[in-house]
Amino acid sequence: MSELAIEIRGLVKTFPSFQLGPLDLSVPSGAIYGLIGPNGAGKTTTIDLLLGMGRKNAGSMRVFGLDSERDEVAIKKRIGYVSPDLSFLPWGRVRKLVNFVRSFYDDWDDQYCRFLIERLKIDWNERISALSFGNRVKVSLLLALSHRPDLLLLDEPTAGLDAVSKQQIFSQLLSAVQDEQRTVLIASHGLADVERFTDHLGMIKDGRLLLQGSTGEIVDRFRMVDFVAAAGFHPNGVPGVFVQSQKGERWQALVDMQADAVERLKARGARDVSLSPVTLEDLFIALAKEED
Amino acid sequence: MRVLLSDFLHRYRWWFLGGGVFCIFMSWLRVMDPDMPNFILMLALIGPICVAQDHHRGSLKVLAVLPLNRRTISRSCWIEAVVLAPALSFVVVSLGTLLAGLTGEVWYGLGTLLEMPLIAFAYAGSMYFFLTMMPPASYQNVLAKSLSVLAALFWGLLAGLHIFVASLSLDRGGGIVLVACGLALTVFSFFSSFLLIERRTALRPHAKKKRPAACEIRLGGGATGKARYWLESFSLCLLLSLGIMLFMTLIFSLSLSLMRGESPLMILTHRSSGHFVMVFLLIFLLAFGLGFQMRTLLGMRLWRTLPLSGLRLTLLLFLLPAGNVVAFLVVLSLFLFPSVEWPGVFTLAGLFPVILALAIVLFALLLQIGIRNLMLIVGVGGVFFTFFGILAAFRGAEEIIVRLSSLPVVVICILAAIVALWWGYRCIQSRSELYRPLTVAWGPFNAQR
Repeated sequence: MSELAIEIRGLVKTFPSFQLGPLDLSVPSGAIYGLIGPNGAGKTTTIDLLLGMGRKNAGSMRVFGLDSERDEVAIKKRIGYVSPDLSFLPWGRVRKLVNFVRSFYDDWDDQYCRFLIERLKIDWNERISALSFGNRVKVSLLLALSHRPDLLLLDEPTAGLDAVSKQQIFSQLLSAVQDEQRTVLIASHGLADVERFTDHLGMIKDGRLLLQGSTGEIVDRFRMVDFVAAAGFHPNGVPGVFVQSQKGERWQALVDMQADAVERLKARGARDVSLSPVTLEDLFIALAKEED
Repeated sequence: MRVLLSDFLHRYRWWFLGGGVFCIFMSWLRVMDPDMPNFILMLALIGPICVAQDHHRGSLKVLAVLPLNRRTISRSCWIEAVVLAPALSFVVVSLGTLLAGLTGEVWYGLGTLLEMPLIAFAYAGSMYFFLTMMPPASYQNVLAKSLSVLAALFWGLLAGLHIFVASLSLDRGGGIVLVACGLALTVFSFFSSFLLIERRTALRPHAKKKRPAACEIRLGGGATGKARYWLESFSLCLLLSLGIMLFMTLIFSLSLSLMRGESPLMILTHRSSGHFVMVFLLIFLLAFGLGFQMRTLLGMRLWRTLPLSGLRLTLLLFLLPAGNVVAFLVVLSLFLFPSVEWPGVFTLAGLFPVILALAIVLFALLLQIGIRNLMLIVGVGGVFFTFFGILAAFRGAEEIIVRLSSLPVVVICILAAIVALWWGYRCIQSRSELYRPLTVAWGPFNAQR
């Protein structure tokens, strides 16, 4: 098995008003990878392209070492996909939908499917149109997990869900992952969930990947710095410094500790420097703000 | 209300303008050949269709939050659907008559000139009435759902029979009865318009929380997966075709018997014109061919995540139009079998390649333009409908069937179907839009988001 579950190199997809990429993304096997970014950043487009929903303009995408276009079917047999955007309406009822989908997978586990139906409290005979939003996501999860995929792609799986449903879904996901060392890619802007459940992270904005690495390392790598600087001070162009606000002589900036940004600021005349740790949410907002 | 009306007219100005030009053109053809079907009511159709399109796009939710009371919204909807298009058809007919009079031709007589707007008004009003009877949500009770299906049937019936309705005359007793019924429905529609607004702008009532029933989870058994899906679609189509054909034949024969004073059985077994069946053929091809495929397109995102190659998915999806065409032809042949004047089922079977090619081309078109653009789909359907209507009017339905079954036409159709299949494959492979979720609730597919 390849060491990387997903390997994206130089991916470009152009729309009339948006361009994804060039994007390089690496998801290690067995990782729970959070792909985070603001709305319209390109998270869903990336996942869609992995699943063949649209054609890329350039680049390559490999899943478990297989080419996403040439080995489409083999890849999809190993993927489970969860999204609230899946419409099951044409299948009428839950049982019809499940029976339809199961026939496409050789390794569909009926016993596990029954277990999930009971665990997620899904009504087997319920009409799809009568399902609540949360229950539709649960059905999506049921379909994705029942064939015990090697890779789970979750596109905003908990968007719009209440805390209880969210908890149910994540606990089910975690148990599925812990049992069998699956790789999970979660695309979300629910930062608290991503921070809690993921061990790797990629931050995407305007179609470009800003950061990538293990969640702990990324969060540790950055600090919020408050400092005082005389009039005329301007930190623009200092590598690893992302200015957040300025009030008179007081500045606040996000700094990349790997780029020796604090030393550089001091060299330019920053004084009374105080550092504080950041949460993923702080980091996300700070980077998004700096880019704006 | 003035703002609402002018906004509506502005947004749909090309439809009204196009409809007006089309009606003038068709009426001009009719001056040359009085046996041509009367298309003047095509214009009256535009009002209710545009309003339906507006509702489909969720305009009512937007209007509901504006500082307008619901009565104003419902009245403006009623005027948009019922009054504007007949008024325009009156203008068109008057202008045409005036122009024809200047060149010494007789286009429409004075009687028709006065009758036509009234019939158009009753027609548009009836169409709108049935639209107001279609509850939007799928969580309604059985009675509401049945009512919705019935209203949809009548809507389709009226839309399909507009040529027939346009040839109504107030000189005959039957015509007066039908127009009077239409006017009564128009009056009802004024009041039911308010109900429509209430329903469409209301929040979704909370469904009763029920515990999942302790049912047996039966997985598998019988045809599953692709086969199951295809069979279900096929059998449902067959059943619906049969039911609706029965229903429409009954209505048609009863209406004709009212107008001609002949028994309904006589009309059914001795049809003097083949237009009726030709029109049926196309309406059903569009309704079932496209209708079922639109249902499929709602689930495209799931289809694409399944372990199927693009080519297999294309072939599988294009099996649906084929199945629907077979189902449709089986039902149609059952109806045509007892007909004395028709060449019979075997001749009709010669039409299969043409209809199949048409269904495949239409499905490819649906993949290209997407389910969102309902108006364009209706427009394309209208073009086919008109094309065959004109052909049937000039040549006669029997001759058309013979011509369409000829070898060159069949070869062209097969080529067109192959190109359409290839095009469909390209769309499935490359069109990201195809997999985007629908954000607008629409009729029976009401996506509750």
